[in-house]
Amino acid sequence: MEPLLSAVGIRKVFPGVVALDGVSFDVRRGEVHGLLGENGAGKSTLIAILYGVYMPDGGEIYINGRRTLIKSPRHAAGLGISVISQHFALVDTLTVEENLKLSGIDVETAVKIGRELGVEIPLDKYVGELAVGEKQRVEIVKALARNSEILLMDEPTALLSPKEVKALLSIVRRLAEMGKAVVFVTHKIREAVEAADRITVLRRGRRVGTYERPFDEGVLLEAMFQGVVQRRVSKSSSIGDVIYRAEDLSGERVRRATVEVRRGELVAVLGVAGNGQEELMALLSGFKKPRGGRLIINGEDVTGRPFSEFLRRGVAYLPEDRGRALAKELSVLDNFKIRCIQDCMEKLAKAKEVLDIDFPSPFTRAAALSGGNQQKLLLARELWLVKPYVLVASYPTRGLDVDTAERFYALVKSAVKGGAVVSMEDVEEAVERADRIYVISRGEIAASFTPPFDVDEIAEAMTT
Amino acid sequence: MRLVQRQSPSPLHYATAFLGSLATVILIVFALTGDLAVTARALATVDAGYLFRVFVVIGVVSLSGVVSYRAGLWNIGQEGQAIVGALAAISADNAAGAVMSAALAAAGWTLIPVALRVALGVNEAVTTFLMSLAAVSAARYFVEGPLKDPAKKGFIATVEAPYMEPVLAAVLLAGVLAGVVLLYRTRVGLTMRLLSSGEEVVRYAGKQPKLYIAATLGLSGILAGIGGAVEIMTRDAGRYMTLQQVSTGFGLYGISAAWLGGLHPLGATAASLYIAWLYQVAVNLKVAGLPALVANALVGTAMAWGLAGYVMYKYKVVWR
Repeated sequence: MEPLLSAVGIRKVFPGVVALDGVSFDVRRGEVHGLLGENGAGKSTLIAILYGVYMPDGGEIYINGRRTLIKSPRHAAGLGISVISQHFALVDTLTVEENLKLSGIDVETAVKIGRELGVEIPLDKYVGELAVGEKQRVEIVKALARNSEILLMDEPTALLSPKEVKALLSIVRRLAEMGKAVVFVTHKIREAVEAADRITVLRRGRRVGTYERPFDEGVLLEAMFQGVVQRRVSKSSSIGDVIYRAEDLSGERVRRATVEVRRGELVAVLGVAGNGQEELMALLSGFKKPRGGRLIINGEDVTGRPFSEFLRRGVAYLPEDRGRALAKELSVLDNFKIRCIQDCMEKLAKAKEVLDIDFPSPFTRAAALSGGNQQKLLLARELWLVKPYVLVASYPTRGLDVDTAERFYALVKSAVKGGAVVSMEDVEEAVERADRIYVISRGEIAASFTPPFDVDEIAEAMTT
Repeated sequence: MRLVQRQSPSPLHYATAFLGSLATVILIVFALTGDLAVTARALATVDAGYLFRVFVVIGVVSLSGVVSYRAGLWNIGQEGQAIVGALAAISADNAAGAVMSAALAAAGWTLIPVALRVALGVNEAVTTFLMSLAAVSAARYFVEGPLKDPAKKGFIATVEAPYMEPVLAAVLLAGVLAGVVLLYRTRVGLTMRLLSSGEEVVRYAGKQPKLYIAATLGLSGILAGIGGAVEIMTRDAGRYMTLQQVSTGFGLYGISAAWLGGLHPLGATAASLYIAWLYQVAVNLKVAGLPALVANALVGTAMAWGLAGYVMYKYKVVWR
């Protein structure tokens, strides 16, 4: 059967990184094609290209056999392509019916499609009251009501409960039966195996292979993590006592997480984005108050104390969202002064030199700095200047080039006096850098590992 | 057309806004008078003492705006806070006591929007504006009641506020200006400015955002209150309030000066002098027989230019 959509040799380069390197991929009518890969594999970039968010730097896209240049998401929608992602285009304060009307969709048609799909559309409910799975179903119905033939589902299960995942997978199968072409992006092997007719595995921007039923989970696992080998790297030689411990820590998404950090240790929290690690980091740093559980620093219970108390005890927090930590409208110097008390101008000049931060003047607005330089400024202030006892960092190396990432780890080693807990996306980075690895999935600590690390075991914990 | 944030904003855009405002004013005045000579006279006639008095008042109120807007807080109730300050000054025995009373009364008056914002998250722009309307009614009550001067037979007015020498008023403005400039060099001032980037950043800095919101709005209210007190106390004559003349409009003028001055204490003070001159021009036009409301119109255009300056400072227009 001729593919409905096919991408040939797609290449996309972002500054400093090749996100997609000649990836070919196709999906047929009435087929669910799983796109499998760990973080950074290039899945979301490929979806963004197919939906017209990015223009590819190389390669061609064919729809119904005709070469097509997808210029924008609006153009993609016109070509019958829809995206179902974790971010819904719904207004919380309106009812489902009002939302449908707002999108120019005939309500009766939507209800009829819902019925065909085996989905009930709660027309009178406010979107804000709906569960994530329900919102997602509304989005799917919206896509179908727009006569979409190709549905790109980008990590659609990331925010769903296990029960909702099951319901979604059966909807996905039903969509294929209705003759739609579905691209199902996931990092979870079992979901891909359950839903897909074919599976393409991406790894670091390259296509490893496309697999047909019956699938061998072992082969898929190997394809996803091929080349990840534990290199001999310097681990902390003197791991000491437990200096920081979180017991049964719970928040909105995080459930009963227990994490401990020993003196001299770098602990990695590994998981796929959207599994609660950002909240876990905020809870561990004391920036967010937990709903349950305890936080103990050096044997003293500090649960629920204000963030200032955590700062006083030497906890530094690098949040994923830099907007939390940097006042972007203020100058670089003002931002530095958030932690600097005296001789700030001199210290900033020194930090600029040590960390190679590029800014024209201390009075430049922080917003004018590139993302990488903002991150370096943050590192300069929270690590180089403060020399914390415990570092809690959320994806600190994301978006950094290899050299800067290396510099970050060197800084952690030299500046952090106690231990560090760092969330990461990349298994290889965790295996190389960490003295202990926790895997987080759906807000829970699914597993913990100590050296020697078994990459297969870690990968399995992440993908189940 | 869309706006794109500038990488390196230049204060020169405020100069452009100033020139734009000046050109607009000249055009308006010429359109109203229709005569070049009359226009020139309206623009050039200045009563130095009067101009100075208005400048000092607007200067103090503009700093109220700077304190609030630099922190990303929208106190637009300077008019009401100035009225309350003026009432407090009327009830005082001497100038120093009047300034103290005005500060205290305005702080108390601002406490309501502060409490609503801090406890319930109610937008302070709405509450401070509504409190201005409430201030007019409250002032009328005081004019007719507790502060009424029984000596003024057949004329409903308050007792007179103590007199403040213009020099003293200038010293007060200089003190407030120096205070705000110095405040911004302290950690407290830095934290207040951090508020403009969101409460989370303040919390990240280890401070309590609610405390700083309360302090900033409170300080802003106090400065507007002092401005109101200075206004009534520096009048040559008629240092009282009547039922018809409760609101003076200096609250709006102060806000305009704050924006036109780029929300910088020194810039706002310089802009206050310009706004005071506009006020003088409006008075000149009134003397020439044009409506009194022209003053508000002129200051309104200056405010629009001030906001335009702020937008031009931060963004560039991309025409595609």
